[in-house]
Order: sequence, then structure tokens, then C-alpha cells
Amino acid sequence: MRALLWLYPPAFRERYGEEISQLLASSRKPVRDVLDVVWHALLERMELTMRGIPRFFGFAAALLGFAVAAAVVADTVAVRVSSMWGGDSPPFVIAVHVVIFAAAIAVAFVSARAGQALARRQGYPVWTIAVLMFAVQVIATLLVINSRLLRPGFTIYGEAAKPTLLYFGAWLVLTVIVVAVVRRLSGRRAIVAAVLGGLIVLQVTAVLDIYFAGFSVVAESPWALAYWRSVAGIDLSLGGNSFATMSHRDWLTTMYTCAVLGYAIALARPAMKTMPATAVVS
Amino acid sequence: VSGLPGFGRFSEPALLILISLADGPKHGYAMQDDIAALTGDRPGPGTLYGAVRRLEEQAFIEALPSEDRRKPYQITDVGRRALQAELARMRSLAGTGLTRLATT
Repeated sequence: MRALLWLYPPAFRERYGEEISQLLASSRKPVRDVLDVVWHALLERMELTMRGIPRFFGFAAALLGFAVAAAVVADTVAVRVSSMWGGDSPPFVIAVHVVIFAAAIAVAFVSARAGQALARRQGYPVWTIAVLMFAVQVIATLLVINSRLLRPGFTIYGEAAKPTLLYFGAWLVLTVIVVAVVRRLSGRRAIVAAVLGGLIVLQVTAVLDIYFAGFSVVAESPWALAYWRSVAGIDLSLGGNSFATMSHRDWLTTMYTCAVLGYAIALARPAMKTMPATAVVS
Repeated sequence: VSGLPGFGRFSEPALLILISLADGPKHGYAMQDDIAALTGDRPGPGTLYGAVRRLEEQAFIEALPSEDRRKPYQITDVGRRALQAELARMRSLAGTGLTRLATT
């Protein structure tokens, strides 16, 4: 029984080890109590580990991991769907976008919750949020690129490193601007600014995406529909297939724009004012 | 029993420990017995001392000198006020709920 105590962190074991050992020795339900001790020893270990990590980096790591996982799962499912129905058929197009859209909503929701948790403590600079999300986007994209390059027939980003970086760079700058504006506002104004700003960011980056990739924006007219056509993955035969080619990249941008703006809204002043108190008793 | 805000997953055990210590100091085994009598469920050693550790950190309880290798704990003034506030909140909540039930 005493060996179980070594599962606890040393400080905890030194402080409460003997008492726990006595309770285990006189337990009326030894199996249940042993499991209880093992479980709580692991919890103590985990809490001790988490205490050593600055809170922001803990949130950042969790969010980054979730976003990457969501992107990879969505992409994997999309490729699976593709192999079932064939790349260009309507069921494929619809199913792929439903999957990726679901992932985008999940990432945005988790981001917003993380933003609320951060707002409860202090406001972090705009650049930390933007850089975090930029890292999320680049890592997820690299994973998507790699997973696609491993499959014959998928070379969407293979030869487009420079345009991709320019595209993400433009997204980063524009997003930082929108986040900065949202954080200066409050209430409905912040939400409206986030929605409008997000749409503008996506529209502008979709046009830049085509431009950086070497296509003629004019030839892809009407450019005002660039984003919507690219995320729909449907080309209306108005000049090449660049919109459809870009569709997965633009969906990633949608996902992360939602995530960043979720942060921004959560960090806006009204969210900070309405957070529940963490301690009832002073 | 809803629990003590701010204690996370240990909120309910922490509240039960404070209630158990409200009528005087007790060691771990006595707390287990008392809580079992209160709720019909005996907390495991890991649960009990996980909550004890947090209550000590918040200065809601404090350890007394050991007696026969058993260490008793007693509730502090801060812990007593916290318990008072939480029980008042629960009473208010229960009163509201019961009143609404009676009117429907």
C-alpha cells in the first residue's frame, strides 16, 4: 500500500502520506480506495506540472493542439470522402465542406472559450494572439500539405510555397488590424466589427491568394465573389480552376479567422465585465 | 450538496469537510465516518486529502499537533465564514426552488 504513495508528488507525500496510508490500511473498500488514491495522485502530479507552465502558454498549447487536430481530422475525412465519391462530384463537394466547416466551428468555439478564460485574468497584447493563431495556421497547413503530398494525385500546395507564405502574411497583418479594432470596441459594436472585419479579411486574402499564385484577378472576375467561390470549391467557368484549387487553403483561413475573432470578441471589454467572480468568499 | 465555488472538482468534498469540522477538530478517519453518516457515501483517501490540501492552502482549515500518529484538523475563522456564506447561498437557492415547486 505504501508504494502507492510514491505516485504522489514528494511534497504532498511528505505532508499527507502517512495519513493516507493509515486510511488505506483500515479501509473497508480497499479496491475502491486504492483506485481513488491512484487517480488523485495522478491529478496532483498533473496539477503540479501545469503550475510550472505560464497560463498563457498552457492555453496556447492546448488551442494549438486542438486546432491542428481539427484541421488534420477534417482533411483526413475529406480525403476519405473524396475516395468514396470521386473528387468533383456534388456529394464530395458538399460533404467535404460540411466536414471542414464543422471543424471551423469547433475551433472557433474552443478559441472563444480560451479567450474568455484569458480575459478573466488579464488582457494579452494583440500580437500574442495573432502570432499564436499564425502558428496554428502554418503548422496545420504544413500537416495538411504533408498529408496530401503523401497521397498520389494531391499536389495542391506542392509548388506554391512562396504564394502560400505571402498569403498567410497578408492574412496575419489584416487580422491583427481587425483584432485591434474589435478590442477597442464593446458590446454589439465589437461583434459587428468582428463579423464585418472577418469577411473583409477573407475576401481580400482570397483575391490576394489568386494574385500571389500568378492568376489574373481580372480573368477570375467577378473578383467580389472570389472568397465565396473559393470556399464553395466551385468554379463557374469564368477562367481556369484557380478558385477550386485554392478552396482548401481558404477554408483553413476561414477556420482561423473565426478562431482569432472569437478571441477578440471574448477579450473585448464587455466580456471582461461580465465574467463571474472566481472567489465567493474574501 | 452542490459544493464550494473555486475548488473545482474538489468543491463538494471540500464543503463536506468544512461541515464535518464545524463542530470540532477531527482526523482523517473521523472525517470519513462523519461524511459517510451525512451523505451515505464515504470519501476515498485520495479524494479526502486532495480536498484537505486545497482547504489548507486557502487557510480554511489548519492542522493540529498529532495525537497517536493521527493528525486532527480544525476549521479556521476564514473557513467558518466561507462555510457560512456557502450554506446561506444554498439555503437561499433551496428556498427559492421549494417555493417555486409549491406554487406549480
